[in-house]
Amino acid sequence: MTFRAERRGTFRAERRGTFRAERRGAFRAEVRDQIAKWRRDGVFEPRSDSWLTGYDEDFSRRLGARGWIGLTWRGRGFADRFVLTEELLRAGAPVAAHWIADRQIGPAIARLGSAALKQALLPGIEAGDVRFCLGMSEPDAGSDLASVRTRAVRTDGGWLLDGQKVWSSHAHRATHAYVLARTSTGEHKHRGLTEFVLDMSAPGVTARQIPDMRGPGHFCEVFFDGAFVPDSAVLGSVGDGWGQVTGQLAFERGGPERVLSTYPLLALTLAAAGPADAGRVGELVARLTALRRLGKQVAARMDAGEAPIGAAATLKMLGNRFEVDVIEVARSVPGVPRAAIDDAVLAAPGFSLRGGTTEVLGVVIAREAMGAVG
Amino acid sequence: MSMPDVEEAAVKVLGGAADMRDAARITAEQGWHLLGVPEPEGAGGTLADLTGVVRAVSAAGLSSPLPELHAPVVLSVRGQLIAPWGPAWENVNLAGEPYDIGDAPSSGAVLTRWRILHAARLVGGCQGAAARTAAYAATRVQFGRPIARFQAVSALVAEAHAQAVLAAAGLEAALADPEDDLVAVAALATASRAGTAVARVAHQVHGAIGVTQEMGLERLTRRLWAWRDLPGEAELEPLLGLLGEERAWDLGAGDE
Repeated sequence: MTFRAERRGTFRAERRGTFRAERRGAFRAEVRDQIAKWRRDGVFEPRSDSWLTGYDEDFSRRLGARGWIGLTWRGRGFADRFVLTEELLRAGAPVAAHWIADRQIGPAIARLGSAALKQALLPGIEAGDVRFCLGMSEPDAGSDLASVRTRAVRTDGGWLLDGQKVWSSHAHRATHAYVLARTSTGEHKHRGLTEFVLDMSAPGVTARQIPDMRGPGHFCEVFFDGAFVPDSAVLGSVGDGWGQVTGQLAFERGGPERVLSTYPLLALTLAAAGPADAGRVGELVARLTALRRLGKQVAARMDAGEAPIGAAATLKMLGNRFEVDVIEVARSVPGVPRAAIDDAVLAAPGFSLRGGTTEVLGVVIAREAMGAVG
Repeated sequence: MSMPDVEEAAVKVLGGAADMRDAARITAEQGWHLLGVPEPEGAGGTLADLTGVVRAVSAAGLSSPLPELHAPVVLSVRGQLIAPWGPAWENVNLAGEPYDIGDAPSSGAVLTRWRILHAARLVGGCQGAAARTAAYAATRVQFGRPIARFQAVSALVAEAHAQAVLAAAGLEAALADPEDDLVAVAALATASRAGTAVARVAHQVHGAIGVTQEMGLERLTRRLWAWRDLPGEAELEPLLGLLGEERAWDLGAGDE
């Protein structure tokens, strides 16, 4: 029997998910309208890399007041956050102040935090008042994150932190820090790590800015000298920090900011492009369409409870390449404002470093590719 | 029969084809191309179902006129009018697949559908070649270890995988808005570029044995090189460069 004979009458058009999708389209429209209004009212100026360098606490509170921080743990999910953050990045809105808390530490607290920690921090994060920095990298632990040496030693009712973190963006004005520290030694380096939530105002915590090639910048180093963290501020299980942090990396790497850091420059390029530029600009448009769909797939997998580490790494590797290629095309299109190009140029070296270097991502992706073929 | 079963059956049946003419005969007889055509004329199902079959067949390094039976087209390619799998069998491409010289280029819905299906063909070829590349790097031993353990090689494996994933995502965007020709153009341009990248990396990782008939990699890469030029990205991408920001941003958002 041929396929034709066998299949006739058995297929049905797929309507699955249509209702949810329509609601999401309405949400995108709502976000667009609000952002356009803020733009008209002069609330912000668009710029590239706004999720790292666009630091504006008032803007974060505005988003908080709209209920747009913490969507992932407030019953809306990653697919809705994907829509929201895509539109914010598209507009080049200053979202850096709440970005880390909204993207990864809030979700980690919601998933692994104690009841006390959730109660103490989630409402503040949602309002845009509680701002997180990341304490992962150290002077001798960059790509080799498991080599962290910052130690946490047991004390009455909690832990005492000693050590140093580096490349912690905006730490000097963050209210809290996520800290990956060693709670036991002598075993395999991937064991004995624990995740902590630290109040930056605790005694023994010092943050110092590291000026970068653009000026004061966002980078900081953070020193811990017997800084106290209560037991209630341990994330998840003591000693299980490695497994938890690698899961968190999917959230850190798998978002639209790994594709859209230079989108405001692309928008200017699209506006300025003429027939002579159509091919190169069109290549970017085609690639962006696929990359954004990939981001949507990653968000859907997160909503399904997965930590899609390989897919997130793939998105970030390809997305970072795109972000830089946008600059290269913009440079060649007459009429794209010089200041917008320069702003993106100075941000670009960080694209393929932060959140995992391209080289490290390559290893993660290759491992997934080989795992898939057995 | 679930869709994966249909895909598996199509690969099996077409895998037994004696030559291209046999593949064309089997394809017409089986009627998979009627997927995505409403009943009673067609087999029902969705265009996505049909792209799944096209992908599976291509990933196995096989040829089939599934896209052309579903949406017969004449394409403008570098100043020539090409009718892939046209009835007269006037010429063959790099992979031995037939084409005729047509008289009037296609446009509209039939061209959009063909572009989506042809993108699926490239996506399947990319997935097949990338998977073979990963498997080869994991097992081929040099200097006492699998070559995938060398970071320079694993970066190539990652690149092939990533390009296949990207092309598949572009195809999914096109399927979200199958009436929009521009998102189909975007998907096909991305898939064409991915075909180039995956074929290059696949041969580099395989070394000399990759070009042998015995290895079979060339069944995939010759097809990728033929398929990527119907037409190539150089003729597709300019169609997307002057859309303006809003239209460009909304490409592929049809299922939202």
